[in-house]
Amino acid sequence: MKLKFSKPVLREWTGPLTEDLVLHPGKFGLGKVPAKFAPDATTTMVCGFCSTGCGLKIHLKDGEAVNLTADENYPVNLGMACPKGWEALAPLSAPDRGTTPLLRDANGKFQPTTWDDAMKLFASKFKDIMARHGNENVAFLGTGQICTEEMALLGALWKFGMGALHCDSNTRQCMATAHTAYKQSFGFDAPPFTYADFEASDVLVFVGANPCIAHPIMWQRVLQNKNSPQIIVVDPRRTETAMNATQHVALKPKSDLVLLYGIANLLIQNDWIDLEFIERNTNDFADFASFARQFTLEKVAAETNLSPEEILQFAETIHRGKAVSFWWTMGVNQGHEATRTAQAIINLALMTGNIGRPGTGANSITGQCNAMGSRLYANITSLLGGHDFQNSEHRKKISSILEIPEQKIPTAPSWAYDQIVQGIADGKIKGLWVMATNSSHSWIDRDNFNRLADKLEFLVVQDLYPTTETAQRAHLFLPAAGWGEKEGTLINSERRIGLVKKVRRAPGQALSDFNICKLVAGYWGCGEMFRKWSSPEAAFQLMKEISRSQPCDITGIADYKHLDDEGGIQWPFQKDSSLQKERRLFADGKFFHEDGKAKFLFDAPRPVAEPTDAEFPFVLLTGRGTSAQWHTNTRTEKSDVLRKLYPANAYVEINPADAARLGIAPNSKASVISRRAKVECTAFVTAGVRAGQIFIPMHYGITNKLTRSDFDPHSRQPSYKHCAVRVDAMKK
Amino acid sequence: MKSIAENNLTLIDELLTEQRTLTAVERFSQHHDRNGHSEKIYSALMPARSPNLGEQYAFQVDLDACSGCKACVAGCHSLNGLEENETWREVGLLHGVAEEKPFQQTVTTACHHCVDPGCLNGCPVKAYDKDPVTGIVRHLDDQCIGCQYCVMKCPYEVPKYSEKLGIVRKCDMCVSRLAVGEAPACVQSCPNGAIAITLVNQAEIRTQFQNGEAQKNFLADSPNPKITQPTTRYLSKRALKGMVFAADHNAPRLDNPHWPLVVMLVFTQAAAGMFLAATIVPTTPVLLLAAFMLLNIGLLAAPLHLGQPLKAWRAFLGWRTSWLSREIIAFNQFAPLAAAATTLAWLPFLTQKFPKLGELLQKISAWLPPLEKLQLPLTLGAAVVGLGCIFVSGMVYVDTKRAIWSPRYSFGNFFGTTLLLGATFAAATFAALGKINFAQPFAIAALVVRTALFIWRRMELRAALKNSASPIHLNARAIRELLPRTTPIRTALFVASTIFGLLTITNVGGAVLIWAGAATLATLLSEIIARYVFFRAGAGKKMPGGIAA
Repeated sequence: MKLKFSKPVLREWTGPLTEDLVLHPGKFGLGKVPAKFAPDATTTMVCGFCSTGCGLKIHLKDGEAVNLTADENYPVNLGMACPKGWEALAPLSAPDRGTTPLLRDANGKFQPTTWDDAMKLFASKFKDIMARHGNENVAFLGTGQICTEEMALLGALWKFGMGALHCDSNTRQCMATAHTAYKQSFGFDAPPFTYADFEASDVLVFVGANPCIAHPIMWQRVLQNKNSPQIIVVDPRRTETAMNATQHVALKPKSDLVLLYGIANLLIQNDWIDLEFIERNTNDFADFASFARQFTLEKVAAETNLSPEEILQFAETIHRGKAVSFWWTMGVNQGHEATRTAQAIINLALMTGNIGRPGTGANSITGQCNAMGSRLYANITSLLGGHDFQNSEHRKKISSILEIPEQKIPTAPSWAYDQIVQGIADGKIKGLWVMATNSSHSWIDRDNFNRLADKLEFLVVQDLYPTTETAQRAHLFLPAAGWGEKEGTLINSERRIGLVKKVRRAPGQALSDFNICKLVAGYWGCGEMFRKWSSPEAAFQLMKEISRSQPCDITGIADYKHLDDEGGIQWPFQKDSSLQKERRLFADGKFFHEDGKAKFLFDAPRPVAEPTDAEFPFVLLTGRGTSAQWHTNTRTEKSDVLRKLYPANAYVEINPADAARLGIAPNSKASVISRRAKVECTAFVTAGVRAGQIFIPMHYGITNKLTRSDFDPHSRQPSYKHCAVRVDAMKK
Repeated sequence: MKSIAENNLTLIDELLTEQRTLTAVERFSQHHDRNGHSEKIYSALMPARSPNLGEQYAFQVDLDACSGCKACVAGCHSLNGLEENETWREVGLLHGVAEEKPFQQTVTTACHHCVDPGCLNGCPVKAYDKDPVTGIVRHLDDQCIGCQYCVMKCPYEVPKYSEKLGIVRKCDMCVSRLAVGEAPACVQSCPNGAIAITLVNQAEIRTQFQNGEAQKNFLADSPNPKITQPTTRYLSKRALKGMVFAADHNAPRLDNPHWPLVVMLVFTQAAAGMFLAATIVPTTPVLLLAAFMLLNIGLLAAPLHLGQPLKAWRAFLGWRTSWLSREIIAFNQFAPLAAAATTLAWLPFLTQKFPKLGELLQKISAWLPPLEKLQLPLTLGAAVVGLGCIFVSGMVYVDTKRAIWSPRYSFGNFFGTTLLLGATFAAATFAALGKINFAQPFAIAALVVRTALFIWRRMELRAALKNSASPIHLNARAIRELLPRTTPIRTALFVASTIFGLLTITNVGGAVLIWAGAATLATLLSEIIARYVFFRAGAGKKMPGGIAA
């Protein structure tokens, strides 16, 4: 209640409350902006949520971000952003930001401590574990959410400086499959496309992808396609994207590999393939063709629950297309035979010659803002810059650029995420450093992870918030600066390197991940080894040098200013590269295997690990809920606006027929039970999911209590998209 | 030479300093400074000319182009500089089966800039203005008194009240952007060009909602467009041809309890009832005083509901259209009449206490009618005006057109409370005065009214619960599922007050004051809960919302 005296006029058309919303011309190429947030300067930086990599124009006042708009001139998003982008600054101001290192006391409560004490403890604990047990008894779990320079420094510090071995990143949960599939098929992890391909196709095939809400700004590019394209969406659910498809192929969950082999067989049998391209640019096609012969229309129809007509129409549409592009996301990557499924898509593009031309490609849409950076520079699976730990030439190259002894570079592969988790179970991993990821929420069969995490001798969590489920279990919490509070680069889905800038002050004593790594190096006693990494931009110069002669060569990029001037630059970019805003790979039909040819890779489909049965008759599908939610919601839940755009609590989508049979009324509570856990949530009764299937978004804590630990054998990516559950009505 | 430990401490200081130094302006912003003004052109999404007479601007939403990204909500928020938790645009979901296929459609909605705006008609202080040229319904933030009646009057729940600011605010279609040919924030921020500004003919809007097809001409599972004639047009080739419902179609919800209004309504109704009682029993100064005091409790509670009480003196401005304005005016007649009737009844006592007052009255008596003859007309006048006030109070809610606040339900409750509390308080007052023979008939009357009211309310609730097609089914479910304790508590209070009433009538143990007092307290409490439920479970039909979980 406000007590304010006003002059006795009958109608107040203006006054302080009216002034509060007045708009002024924004200058700096902006239209009108709120007068109270009128900028005195602007700068463009790339968004830090998803891999679309939109350019956000930050409105600055005294050097600090006060507001933002989508940048009209950035080649990715052309003046648009999704709600997460619009609200990107809000999570930085959350009241629960970590402002000092926190140490858990004897009562299990976090107590503030100094960086000096925190770092001494960090170094002594990890050194102690490594001294007692060896360098394979500690691990870190990193992220696709921090800058490439930070990932590179972390990976180099861990393996070269601290002498530890095992490490992985949450990119294992999103992009490991695409990475492995491309590497095996093309010879390098190289997504070939540029976003202009969305606009240039006349047939777009989306497999296990829901860009309408997962990548809304990519969907914007699809809608700008002037060819009235055929849009085929392969998804068990009638998603927002399926609603917009010209053909929705609602297949049985995890029958995608069979379907794709069936399509390949139809294309081959009808001679709807590009033999010239196949012969000139690929290997192993004959083997694949004879393998595919077993996937007859009848067999595929029976195994996918699709009609033969639907399948034929799918194949014919590809055949008739002049520029067919194939796009996939987590529906493929997070499967029990994910790598072969991704390669089945790649095979379709190769055999029809739909690659290297505008509007074509076998294109993996990346998840996280910097999954691509992680794939190239995290020093986890590959040596920095997409090199090979086992290759002595590569080790020599890196050691000379970084000026470190070659023997500091390990030759042994490090464990994948699931192997690290198993390592904890086996008592091998005793110390764990988790950075900018929320494993306690997101890892498959999370209750198992949490039981194991509690066994660790030392768990360090480095994050923006000490309130995440994982941080709540940590012995030591290190407060990190977030996106917008530091400098660095991110690499988006189309290989575009974009800049992150420092437009906000990190709260309290929070430090960027880059700075924390430098601090760790100092306290570990290997600071001297990272002298050249004086700043993120200095690290970028090292990364450039590392990339020389690799498919991802970026030696032609001068510096951050150059990236800023160009609105991001796609790799590769050598000195003589022409500066086209949108570039794709493989225009010359040359791939990255030694003979320059791509490979047809395939395997017999395997049954899912946990088929449905009488006790657990439903397939649980998981995925993104809304465009306003990001992963475990640690950042998106901090924005009042975003919170209004998604359901506050977990819900399960269930088909009306199933709901009626089970006595589950719309909006009533239901329990969902798997062999791992029993959870409760609200029932959303909708025809969007088929009978026998249910869907729960991944953003809610309950979801991964249900999921089952299964992994693709090639990429070791978890299979989040299929497990068996039961659904019961909740008794009142 | 520094030790390693010292070096590390220096490093911490260096890194903390570096972390707190902002570098974007110095390193990168100059380049952008040089960029010229590159205002985007949304010509296809904007009208080519200004509205002619009888036309106005309107939102047009191409549902087929909307893919559910919800950027319009966030874009509007940022480009208009709204409070952190304030949004002028909202999104919901329609789903079901259409053309034999599963169907889902995100629906974006903001102010509909109605032809006959409920907010404007309901505003007691004329804080709304429908621009004669553009048709944009603007809210005058500095005129607003924060009464929130527009929130109830708008079927689309567009005006949003801010506790912090003490006023409501709403979408103004970015009027200042339109004035310079710039597209509104939502139009600018939709990646798919699904929102446009168009010109609509106001007479056509009226006619399209006149026939039985009104709902189809607007949007499925949303408020009846006849009430305010919204101008937003939802276009779709595919949508809404089948059985589609809002995602929260089955979800009961709670509304603001409006506690000051609960107190205001219950106490003013009790007061009106007591004035009515006072017309039956002559020479009742204590009863009148008690009534007058209850009236004042009610009237003092009312301004607590306002965000800007000091601006409330303008509340008469809206009397031509606003029942709230009329309610305020009506109570402004009731209060002095009630004061006069009460004072007159106490005059003999007052002149005794203050002899000089008696002398003064003596002097002016020549100009006055005989005072004792004025008592009945004044009391009767107060009672009649009081009952009129209760009617106007009822109209305040009836006029919102919310299904639950039907004339039957609103008047039934308000007059029921008036009679019940009037009788109970009268019984208690006479019991306190030791006039048992007066207390008993009022206790009997209260017993009858209470029982009738209880049975009627319970039957209404049960019927609405049973019938899922009832327009007030969700309100009934809100009572049962979201306010589960209110019904048993009201039953207990009913039983208790009935027993106390019977004890009053039979004067058990000669403790009639205790019985009547207890009956009154229990009844008062029961009616306060009833009025709380009236508001809390009083939500109306709204625009489609998201999944309610």
